[in-house]
Amino acid sequence: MSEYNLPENVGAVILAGGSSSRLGQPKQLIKYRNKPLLQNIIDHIQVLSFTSKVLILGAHAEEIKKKINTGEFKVFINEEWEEGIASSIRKGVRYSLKITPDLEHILFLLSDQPFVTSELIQKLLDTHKKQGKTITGCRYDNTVGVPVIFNKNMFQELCHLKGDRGAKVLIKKYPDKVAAVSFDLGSVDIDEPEDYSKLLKLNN
Amino acid sequence: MEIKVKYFGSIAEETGKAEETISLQNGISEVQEFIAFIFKKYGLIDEGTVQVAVNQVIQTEGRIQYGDEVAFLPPYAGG
Repeated sequence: MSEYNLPENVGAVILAGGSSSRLGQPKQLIKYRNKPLLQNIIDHIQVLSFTSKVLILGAHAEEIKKKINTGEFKVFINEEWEEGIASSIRKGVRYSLKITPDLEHILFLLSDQPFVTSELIQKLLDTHKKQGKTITGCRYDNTVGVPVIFNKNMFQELCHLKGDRGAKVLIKKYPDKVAAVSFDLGSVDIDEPEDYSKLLKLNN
Repeated sequence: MEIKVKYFGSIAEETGKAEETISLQNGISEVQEFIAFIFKKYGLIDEGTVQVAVNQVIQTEGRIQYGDEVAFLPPYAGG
């Protein structure tokens, strides 16, 4: 696949540090389209040329590292993963800036949104560039959420998020600074065995 | 033997604290025994969904040692 033309100086961060006891296995490794969920998202991002590519692991990090081809992604272990998604966001920002101190935008993705594709991310990046808003996210279920791109003006605030309060806190705090693309299937994520059953049905 | 214990999300609400240090007595040396001890101490109900991590690694078996950090997490945790 050819590489897309992207806005300059964007880092990609996949947040994959979570754990769900109800699935019986690490959700990052649940198979979808014959690949682990996390591998699907890595492969979709891999074809796009970002300034940096960072993968944050936490729960089940060792097992995931063995079973996932991380390609160009630099892998970091968030030892504070138990705190919640904010700890992985903070690490994602800091590691990305360590790689590229003058980074201007960061795209955040999760490992358990199976319908995220490179086409969707391309659309998100195009919208971010064209509309020039501070935050560009995806609209589903009457809300805006991940995948989401933040301009560097927000890096400081992202580094102050705490606990299980993720990017949505800032999306809600600054409604005037947010642009969004439509992504109806963004609400499909995998926490329960029933979510996985639904996913397999949707795919058929 | 001192063990650092952390509680997250709904578990922290039930125990009323985010963390504490527990001095182990009574010959507890297995993770499973320690989990049972904490559940009893706070009257937690195990629906098979509470997650336990020892030194940030999810596990419910093995030995527990001086200086370990044990975390009790809700069914969906981390990010």
